[in-house]
Amino acid sequence: MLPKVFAAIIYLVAVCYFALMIAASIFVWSLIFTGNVYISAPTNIDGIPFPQPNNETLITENLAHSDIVIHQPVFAKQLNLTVDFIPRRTASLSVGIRQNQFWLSYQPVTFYKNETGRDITDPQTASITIDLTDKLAAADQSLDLMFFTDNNDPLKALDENNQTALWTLRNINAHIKTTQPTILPTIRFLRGILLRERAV
Amino acid sequence: MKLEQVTIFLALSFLVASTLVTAMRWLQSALFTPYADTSLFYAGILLLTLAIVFYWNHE
Repeated sequence: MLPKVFAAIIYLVAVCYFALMIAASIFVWSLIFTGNVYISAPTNIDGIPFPQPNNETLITENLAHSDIVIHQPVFAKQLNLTVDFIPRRTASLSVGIRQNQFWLSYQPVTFYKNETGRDITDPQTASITIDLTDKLAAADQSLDLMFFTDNNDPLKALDENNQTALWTLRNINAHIKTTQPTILPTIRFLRGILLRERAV
Repeated sequence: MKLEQVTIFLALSFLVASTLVTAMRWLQSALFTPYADTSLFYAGILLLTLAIVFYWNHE
């Protein structure tokens, strides 16, 4: 009797171990994907699309939001954005990826500055790299991206009395690459799983 | 080990893996792709059906 029970336990442990390997291999497989990902047309914070004359997007508010659908976990990933734009009179342009449950939790990266105040109508191109490991992915594995105009502080950019933005987004390309995550983002990533952080 | 025994082992493993992935998606849905859990579940059911067929033929 005892050897049979022992054999059954061994069998169940082997089943569970193999199941764990299957689940882990699916997760690891998803970590090695790279390439271009879909990025939606920018909208304002109420979800209303900006006007698109000549297939270019005219950004008229300080905050402009897009979704990036990556179809993979954010762990050990890096986002390379290539932004083709006409800055006009904007003093600065920044972009960030949402970090936690708070809807305005962004750490914007400034990719354009103009301190002359002149109207710049020549197209410009900027490349921005953002680590994704500590960023918040929604249930459909999409990320929230936000452009900030004239202000690097999300709360100040939200100020309704100071909506001075007017620039043209000609094209945007999002590319995912693998990267070695550092300790702090990894801790934040694991904490996000344990605390069951979800996009709202 | 007979073919049906191997298939049953794989079927059980896929069904347990499906449960694991469902649990992980419940904890943090962005960890696994949306269809990972259902795909594993259907693979488990398919293997279980195959095991029954193998057992039937063997008998």
